[in-house]
Amino acid sequence: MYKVVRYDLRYGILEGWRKLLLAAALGGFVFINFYFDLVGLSMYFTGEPWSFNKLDPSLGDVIVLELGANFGRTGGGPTSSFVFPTLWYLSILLPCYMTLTLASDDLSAGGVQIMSRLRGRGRWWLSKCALCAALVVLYYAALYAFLWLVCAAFGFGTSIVPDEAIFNTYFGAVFVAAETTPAALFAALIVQPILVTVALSLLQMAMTLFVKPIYAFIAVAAYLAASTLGFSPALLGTFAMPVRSSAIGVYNFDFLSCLTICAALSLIAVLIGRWRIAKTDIL
Amino acid sequence: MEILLENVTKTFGHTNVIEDVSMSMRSGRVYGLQGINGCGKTMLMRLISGLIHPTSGRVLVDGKALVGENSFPESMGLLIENPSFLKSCSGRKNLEMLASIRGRIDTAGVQSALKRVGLAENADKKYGKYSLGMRQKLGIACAVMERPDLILLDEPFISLDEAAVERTAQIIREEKERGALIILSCHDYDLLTGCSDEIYKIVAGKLAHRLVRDGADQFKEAEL
Amino acid sequence: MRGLLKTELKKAFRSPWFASAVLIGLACALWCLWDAAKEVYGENGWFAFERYCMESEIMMVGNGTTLYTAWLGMSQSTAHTVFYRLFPLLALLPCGMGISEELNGGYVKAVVPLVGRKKYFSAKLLAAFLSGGAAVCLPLLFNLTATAALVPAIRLSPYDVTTYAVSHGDLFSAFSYSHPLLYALAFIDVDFIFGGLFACLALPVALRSEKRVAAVAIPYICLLLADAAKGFLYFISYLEISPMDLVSVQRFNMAKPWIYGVWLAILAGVNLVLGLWKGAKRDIV
Repeated sequence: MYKVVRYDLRYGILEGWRKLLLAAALGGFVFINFYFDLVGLSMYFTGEPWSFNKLDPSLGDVIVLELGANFGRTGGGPTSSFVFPTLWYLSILLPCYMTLTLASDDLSAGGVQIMSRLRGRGRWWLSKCALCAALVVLYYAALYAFLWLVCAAFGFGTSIVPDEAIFNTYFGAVFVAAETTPAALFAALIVQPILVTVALSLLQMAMTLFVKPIYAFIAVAAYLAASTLGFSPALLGTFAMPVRSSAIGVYNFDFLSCLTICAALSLIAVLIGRWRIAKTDIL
Repeated sequence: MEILLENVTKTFGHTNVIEDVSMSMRSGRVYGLQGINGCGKTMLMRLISGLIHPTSGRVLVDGKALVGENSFPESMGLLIENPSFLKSCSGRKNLEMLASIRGRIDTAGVQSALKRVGLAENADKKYGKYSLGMRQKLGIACAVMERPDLILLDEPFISLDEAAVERTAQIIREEKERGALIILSCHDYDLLTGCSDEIYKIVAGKLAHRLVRDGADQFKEAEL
Repeated sequence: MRGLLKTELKKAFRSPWFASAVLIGLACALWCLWDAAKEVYGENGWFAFERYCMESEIMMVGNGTTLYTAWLGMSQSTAHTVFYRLFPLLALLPCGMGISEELNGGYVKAVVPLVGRKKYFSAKLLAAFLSGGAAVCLPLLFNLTATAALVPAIRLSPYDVTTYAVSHGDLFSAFSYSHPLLYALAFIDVDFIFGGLFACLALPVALRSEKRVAAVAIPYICLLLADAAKGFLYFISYLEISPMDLVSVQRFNMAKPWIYGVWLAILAGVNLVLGLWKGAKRDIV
């Protein structure tokens, strides 16, 4: 079992290194978006568009403003209409796309050779799950590392604590982060999105054993889109929105609930996939 | 190794692709499967390899049914339908990656397998650039490289030139002498009779005839 | 060419992918219909409020839920958000998977020698355009019709202007309040055209990638990137430049007609250059 996990991790990640470049590309796009947002904020605070040095932005501001998602519909009226958090949506959909066909591609390619050598379908499936989770973690590591680097290169702060004034202006909401511990902040900004994406990717991969991969992708896309307007813990996407976490804003989507739900869903995905692959005829 | 099929039936929808097949096979022999397109030769190989589950009946390998975590025979090499490997890796790299799973052979063993099938010169070319014949050779190399006890070859001779066909037939003879149980399907009756010790003719998913090679190298009808 | 086009259209409209796209869209349409029905007939719906006001002799403010703001295109429900986020995927699904399969599976080798490259790819693009447009419009039309059966078609009032903003200068804004049904139908036409153009984006991707899913997912991701880039111009002007928001009947920012023209040109250009022209030059191996 260890050998095949090592095989999948080694060759899967080596084969998929280009996919990790997507994370860096997204990071670049996120930073460019943040830069333009800073122009607007700078106008608001100083009356001049390019006075960034008076704002003291940091990595935390990049993550919260661009990947923090939103508070849902903030009431009637054209100026407070719902703005879909596209960057947040894309940041989760990309790793889901990266891991979408890990299982189905393998089944139609060399996976049969691997399975016959392992003498176990379950072991093959567990190895694929390990690869899926590893790719998601590496994707986020690459994304945050790139953002950290560009923040440092542009002279912005590299702390993950967002600025209260920027937060209040951008979201018009109560800022709780100043009273939060660094660990809770780290969990909300960095860890929660990773947990949610791992769970979603595993569920998606398990779905590809039942339906065509594109339907699994559409289901995940629809589920994430619904999360932007819903506030239920049943909508997993809400836990991946830093602004809705108890560490940043006023909603109570805390880390412990996120960890429990994501762990449970990941386990369900692994077990369902294992059951399914044992029953499937591999043609 | 001994393989027993006991009243095996496989149904897809309302169609029996394999119907009530019982067979007994043992090591050191080559079993040929013959029949028209769509008669069930490949399906039968899939059943024996554990890739698909029988709707009824049992497939026993050394007395153990292929179920649960032991859903594949312990030592098996297979080439079923079109071989499929990673296009971005070379032929050699593909085989080395697969060999690393069980660790039964090293890079020298992989090289030896590539040489056996006549692919040594093109071993470092990317699989995506291989011709059909080269892909077929790589598939054969993959099936035999770890010297498995059971070898399943579904139409191994397609896309091969004359020299490669002869080389493949030679490999089959050598593996048989080593003691492997080989199951082979082929449309060319001369090739099939040249390689096999027993030939099963399949018609519409059922075993129709069984021919066994006798001492005089002739095939005689035997009981199913 | 006529025979080829007929074959391609049959393949596109009879494919299970087209049926799936329409079904997914219909699911969103039914979801929105349910929300609209609840708004009107539910316990806390408009009719219940009307009854309460009459019984309590309270003056009612507003006209209540109207067809023109309850249907899928104008609704503020989650169904609207989900539908318009999935819009490009639904448009790409009918032909996207098929195009990739044909180009990489060898079918193209059988057809191109009979009709020529240009005709083949032209027919493919046209079939993609029509099937993609139809896949997104059928649910919208269904929803508009079904909602009309349940929700009163009350003319929009000045109060609705503050909630369902169609800005002066937006495309078709001239008749959005005076002829709201015409406005809805006009926007469904816009959705047909944009849906069709989104669907054609599968061809340039399929020419470069062997994965079927890529032909659908990569154009979608590119459109999402274009959507995310709309904030780049906010420091100059709050114009709606995202193609994904242009197809929605209600938007956050102003969507002037010339922006639609620019995007039509961009999408048509990408499809013709990277799809048709490149495809016609490509070696078929």
